[in-house]
This record gives sequence, C-alpha cells and structure tokens, in this order.
Amino acid sequence: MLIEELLHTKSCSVVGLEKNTGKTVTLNYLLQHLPPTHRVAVTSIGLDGELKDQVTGTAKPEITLFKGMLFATSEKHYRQRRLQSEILEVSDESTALGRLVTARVLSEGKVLLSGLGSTQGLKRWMNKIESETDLILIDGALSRMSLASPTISESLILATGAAYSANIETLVRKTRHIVALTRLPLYEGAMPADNIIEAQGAVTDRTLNLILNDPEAQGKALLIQDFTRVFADEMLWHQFTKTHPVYVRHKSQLIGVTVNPKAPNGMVLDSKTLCKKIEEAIEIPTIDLMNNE
Amino acid sequence: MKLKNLISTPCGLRYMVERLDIQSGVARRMLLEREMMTSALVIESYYEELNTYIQAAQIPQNALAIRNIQFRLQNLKDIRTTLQNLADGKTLDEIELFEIKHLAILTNETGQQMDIVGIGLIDFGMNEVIAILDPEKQCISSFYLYDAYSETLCHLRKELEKNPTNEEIYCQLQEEELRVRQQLTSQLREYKSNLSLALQQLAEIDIYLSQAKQYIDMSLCLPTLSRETRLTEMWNPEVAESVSHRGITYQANSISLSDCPTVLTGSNMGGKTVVLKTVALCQLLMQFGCGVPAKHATMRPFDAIYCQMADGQSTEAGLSSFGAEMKSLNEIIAAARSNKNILALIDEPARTTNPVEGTALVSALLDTLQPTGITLLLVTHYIIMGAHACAYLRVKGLEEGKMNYALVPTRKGDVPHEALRIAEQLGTDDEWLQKAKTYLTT
Repeated sequence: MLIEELLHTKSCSVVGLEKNTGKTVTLNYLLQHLPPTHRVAVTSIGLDGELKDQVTGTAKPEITLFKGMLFATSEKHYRQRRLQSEILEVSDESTALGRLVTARVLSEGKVLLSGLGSTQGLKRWMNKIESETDLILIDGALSRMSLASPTISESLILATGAAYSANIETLVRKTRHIVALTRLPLYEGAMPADNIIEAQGAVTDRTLNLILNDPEAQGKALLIQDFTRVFADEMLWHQFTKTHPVYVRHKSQLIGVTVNPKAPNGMVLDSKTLCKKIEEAIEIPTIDLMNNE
Repeated sequence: MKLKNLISTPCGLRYMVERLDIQSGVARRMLLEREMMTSALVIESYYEELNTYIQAAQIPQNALAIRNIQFRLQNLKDIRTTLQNLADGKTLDEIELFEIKHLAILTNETGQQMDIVGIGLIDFGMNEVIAILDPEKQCISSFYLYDAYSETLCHLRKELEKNPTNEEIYCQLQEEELRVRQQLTSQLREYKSNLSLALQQLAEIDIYLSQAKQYIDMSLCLPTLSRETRLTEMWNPEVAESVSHRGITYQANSISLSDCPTVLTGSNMGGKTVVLKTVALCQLLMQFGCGVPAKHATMRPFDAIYCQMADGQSTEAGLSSFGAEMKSLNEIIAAARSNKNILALIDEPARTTNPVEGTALVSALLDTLQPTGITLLLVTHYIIMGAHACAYLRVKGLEEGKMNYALVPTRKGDVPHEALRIAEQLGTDDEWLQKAKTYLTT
C-alpha cells in the first residue's frame, strides 16, 4: 500500500518523530520492497542524529542498498561503507563530515547516510540527479538542529513509535497532532498581506502567545514556512488555531505512517491495537514495521 | 601585493572582479591569490594571450564551443589537497583517485573544445593518466577499484558476495584494495607536477574567458604599455551603474599623468573623487591583466599603488579621521623616498583641519613628494602656496546650471568658488546661504 504510493512520487522524505522511532527501519523496509526496476537514489538531511550519536557513541544504524541504486553521503561515511560502488561525483559542497560523494551501488551492502545540511544544497543535488532516478528518498530530520527542511520533497512518511511515547493513547494523540500539522493548507497568496502574520523561523509558545495577546492581530492568519517549524505546546496550538487560520509556504503530501512498537528501553506496545488506533485517528496507511512480513 | 589584499581598495575594483563570469571556485581562488604584475613585459604578454581569447570570443561561430567550455569548467574542482597528498607520498583513496581521473578527463574534453575555438592547450599527458584510471576503457569519469586491476580483487569480491558476513574475506579484500591503491598511486606519482599544471591551465582558461567576456560586454580596452599614463574617456562602471539608477548619464573624462605631480581642483560635487577612483581602478585592472574602462589607454605599471580616499576607513585603529590620514600620508612619503616608481592618488588631504594649516600642509606635501619623482595625483580645494612644477587640472564645473565634469588644464591658484551656488541648487536653507553671502562680500 505504502510502496504503491511511493511509485507515484518523485521524492519522499522519511521523518522520525523521535530518535528510535524506526526511521532507519522504515528506510530499509522501503528500499527492500521497491521493485528493482524502479531507479532509486538515497541521501540524508545533514546532521540529524549525527552529533548526538557521536556524543553517546552509539552507532548510527546503517541502511542496506541494492545494486543500481544511487546514494550520496559524506566523504567520511563513504570511506566506511560496506558495499561496492562507483563514485559518480564529489561535490564542492561540504557536509559536516567532509564533501558529499555521490555513487552508484555495484553490489548490495550497507552504508551510513549523511548529507547536505542546507535546503538549497539538497535541492541542487536533487535537480542534478533527477533525470537518472524515478524516486529520491531522503532520510529526513525533524529537529531544530537541521537547517534543511524535509518539505523539500514531494511527499512525506512519518515514523512514529513507542520511543515517542510509551502510552498508546498519548502516542496516538501526539502522532495525530503532527499529522494535523503536515496537513496545514498551502498558502496560495490569495489573501491580502495585511491580514497575514508571517513567521520566518520557529513557532514557539512565545510566538503564539504574542499573537494571541496582541489586539491588532485578532483574527489574522499565521503563515509559517513549513510544519517542521512548529514547536509549540499541543494544547496551546489547538487554542490558537480556533481563532487564527494557519497556512504553510512549503508542503509535502503525507503518504503514510510507520509504527515501531518497540522502545529502546525494551518496552513493546501491542502493535495491532496501536496501528488500528493510529489509522483510525489519521485516516492514512499505517504500517507496523515489526509485523509486516 | 595580491588581488585579495587590494580588492577592497575603494575604487570599484571589487565590483569589476565580482562581475567576472568565472565558472569554478578554484579559478576564483587562484585569481584572488594572484600577485599584482609590475613588469611591462609580463603584462604585455598576458594581454597578448588575453587578446587571443577576446578575438576567439568575438567570432559568432565560436559561441557554442565557448559555452561548452564554460559549462565544463563549472565542474573543475579544487583538488590541490589531493595533488599535495600525491606529492607527499601518501596512498590515495578512491575519492582522491576519482578526483584525478575527473581532472584528466575534464582537461581532455576542454582541450577538444579549445581546438574548435582555435586555442591550443599544452599537453600534460592526461591520456596516460586516464589509461591508468580507466582500465576497462569506459571513457566516463566515474571511478571504482575495477576488477581489472587484480584477479585477487575480483575473486575476493565474488567470495564475499557468496558469504556477505565473512569478516575474514572482508579483511582480505580490504588489504587487496589497499595494495591496488598503492600501486595506482605510485603509477600516478610520475604525473604529479603535470596534474598540478593541468589544473592550473584549466583555471587560467576560466579566468581568461571571463576577462574576454567582460572586455566585450563592458566595451573595455586593452591599454598600450608605455612610459606615460594617458586615459582617454575613462569611466567608472560601479559609479556609472549607481548614477544610472538615478536617471543620470555618466560623463566620461580623460586625464594624463606625468612625472610631475598633478593637482586637481574643482567645485564640490564636480566628480574629482570619481576621477581619482577611476584612475586607481584602471591602474589596478591593468596590473591584474584585465580590460580597462576607457576608450583608449596608454599606461605604465607601478611597483605599488597608494590610494588615499576621503571616504576611506577613518575609524580604523581608533584614530580620528585626521590621525588616520596623517598616518597613511606618512606611509606614502616613506614609500616615495625609497622607490620613485609608485603611483599615489590622494583625495583632499588635510581637509578636516582649519584652512590655514590645511593649506600649509598640502603645499608642503607637494614640496616633499615632488622631488621624489613619483607619479602623484592630488585633489584639493586649497590654493597651493609656493612654487611647484605641477600640472594643474580643474573640473569645468557649473555651466548654465548644469555640471560639466570634463577636466581642463588651469593655472595655479584657480580654485573655483561655486560652493554657495551648488548649495543653492541643492535647495539648502535660504537664510543660511544669504548670511554666508554677506560674509563673503565684507
């Protein structure tokens, strides 16, 4: 179902709601299930997890790539790869771990992905390889740390799971909140500019309170860059959207949600109930990564 | 002095350099690292080479090939670190080997296009480099350690494919790959200087093409090298662009400089500073081998160019504007005493102090600099005291309410008194100006 959706999109970001919610498992699942004839390229949005992993020393999970796929990763991770590949390009643009190497897989194996940290850099890379690929998969980031936005891609897959919250009800509610954010309407420029407040950066509780308490801002719409810029409290956000319409400048189509019922602390949620509840709440294909085979 | 140290000279040099259509980062960096040329011979031969590019670029049939060359040069990478590693005897990794192959192929491809344009390149043996890095003769710039390099490599890879988790085979493969890389590196070491030269050659083509393009697009001229300086109908492209935004046409003007100091006077807003800046700009452009914004130019190279602008950075080092000015004028005097082959362009010295002492300071500055024999252009509002063998120039000034920016020879002491009239035209407060007039008549 999800794979079917992927065949109809040119580019897709996989975004984890929290570390260990199964973003890498999701990517591996997708890469494994896409038809071999579909030309796939993979890269990552810069820093996500990278620094944290280097601090805690836990290995960043590798993804498995198959013959013919294109991938881009930093110099450092290219040297550490466990697969045969031919280098197609070494970019002048740098990642946090050296220059970006674009290569084609010659024989199946594993690689760590790291990529360009800026939206423009990523866009340039995507444009360059567009003609050689049917689908560009991006290991996305949902974090203040990242400068690049996953909404650069046409579509979006959210990875959620027990690591995000150990309580099924809370997890469903929190996931529904993020899903609602991804569905904010795209700004079409039809509204007079003085009825709109545009937020260039992060939207926090403070931003929302400022607008709510400003008599001149009553009823005005809020225009944000994309859904990843919202860091406000869920309750406050609900209250805010009752009186202020919100639009986004950039939007990706959410095509699916994956669920990882296992948390790193060993706790496992009942995945059937979990998937069912999430699917009901958001009305979108939901895949349990552990029980899908 | 390098271009990167001079690019901030407040004369519009940065404007010109930034408008060079250079394709690669490495060429841009190399350009900024260039030393200013001071020998007429070197500049002449540089211009000779640039001229072949200009002529080639002016032929319409070459347009496609030139676009192709520039398009390829966008892929020119700065692999100087890699080449240094090669020279230092380090074993190159796959990424570095890829970079070398890429450079070799790019050199050959560019060479083919350059042949169409009719400019030959020096052959640095890139075919041999490609032969080393393209054993399967695929003629594409991608790279990996091909199976063709070693039977062991090929065998181990097949084994690993059968047993992907076998660490022993994996380690053996790593070792074999290292051995192959060592072998390739030692084969390539023979070409280490040639590879550097090939990289430099491509960067130079990039720079020449951008200079030729600027020459054509901006209608610049290539100066004739001589003992004197004569700039005919020069203009300052940066100033011209900024005034054109305000709907004003830029008036080009001409100037000659000789061994005796040239003193330039003229009314306020008469474009004296622009003249000074434009002379500085032309001089710097010439000494970096670029086209010059003038209809004709006869120029000579100087060992150093000093540019003391009224709108310079007076607050640097916490000095007052007067303090900073005295410090840099002092530097010019010291330089002039040790080398007469310098050009000094000085804008309104001692303007921030009282006119009595100011006049004395400027007159004495001429007294001091004239005997050194340097080439000097000095702008002032003061009436020079004492006798100097100077050339005096004046901006024509207001003619029927309109400013004529042309420079005309004048005699000493002819300092225009047009400040009040110009202030009037600017709409300055009437009461104030009337009162000023009363002072002038008493």
